[in-house]
Amino acid sequence: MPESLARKAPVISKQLEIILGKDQIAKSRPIDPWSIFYRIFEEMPHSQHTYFTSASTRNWLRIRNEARGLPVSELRDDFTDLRRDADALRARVEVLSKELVSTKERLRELSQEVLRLRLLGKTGETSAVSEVCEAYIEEVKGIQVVRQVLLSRCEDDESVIWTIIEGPPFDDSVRLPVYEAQLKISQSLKEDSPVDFHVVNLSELSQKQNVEDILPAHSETLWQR
Amino acid sequence: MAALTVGDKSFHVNKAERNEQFYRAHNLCASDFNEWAIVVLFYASMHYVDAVLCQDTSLPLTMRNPTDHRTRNAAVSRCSQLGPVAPMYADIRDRCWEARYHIITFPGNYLGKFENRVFKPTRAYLRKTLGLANQ
Repeated sequence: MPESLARKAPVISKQLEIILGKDQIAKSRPIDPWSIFYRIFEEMPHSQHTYFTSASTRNWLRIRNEARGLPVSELRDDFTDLRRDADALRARVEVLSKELVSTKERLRELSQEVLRLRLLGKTGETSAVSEVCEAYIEEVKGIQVVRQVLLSRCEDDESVIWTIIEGPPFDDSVRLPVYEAQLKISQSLKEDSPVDFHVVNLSELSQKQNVEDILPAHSETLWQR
Repeated sequence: MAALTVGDKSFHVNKAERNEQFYRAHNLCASDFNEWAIVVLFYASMHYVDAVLCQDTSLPLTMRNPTDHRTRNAAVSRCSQLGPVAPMYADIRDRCWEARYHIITFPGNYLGKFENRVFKPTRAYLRKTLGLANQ
């Protein structure tokens, strides 16, 4: 018996089961829907199920008879269908998650590229800053504790490269590779470095401090892990 | 006291040693105000660095007697004698900046570690480079 019918007409469905079961009519001979209908409604003339029409009864009985003639494989229950749909949806969600991750990665690459191009499009001095930034990022992105590299311009137009690291707090040894990278960049320049450097260890900030509180406003992220 | 000229090796060594004397005289290593201890150690280091820079004739004159940190940083990266301690000097400089602007005070045990692992090796190398005895 379909679950929806059972919910709507529990008494009718119970009666139908009793009648069909007792008379063993399902397989042997066709059901006379009218006889069943009257047998049911004689017993409950004032029930809400009087709305259940003879046409509906015939329809359900026809469906039931047809269903009994079908092989079991054709009688898939709702759960099987739901499970299949859920599996399909789960697989789709996994595909979409992977696509989202790769899209995010691509967006980050593109935003960094946009920033580089923007810097390159400015004055010669900024172009020199851009070159230092690019070279510096190449040096530090392999250092495990480095999380982010930002560039800020102060009011006096002095550029500062901020290296955000996350390592054991107040352990100066984790900073030294970053300073070595800075030194390497400064040594490679023919002219004076157009930028200053600062290192900030996220692990050393107090609970009330955010790294944004330390960095000048409008600092631009050049690279982040 | 003999008159010292700004830009002389003796002037910078004198300034560096006076900073160290100040550090010891006020027992800054045990002070609650350890952020100022870091600042004093930075200025001691900076004068040792300036003492080396003023002797490096391969550098342009502006770098031999730097008047700002930016020029000094550039000079440090150009001075081959300072190469071995340049990263540690950068660390001392950053810690000084943090002490002045962003850190209320450093953890209690930090100053000792900083002194032993960063400042003292830097100081020892610089004094040796300057031909000074390490006390």
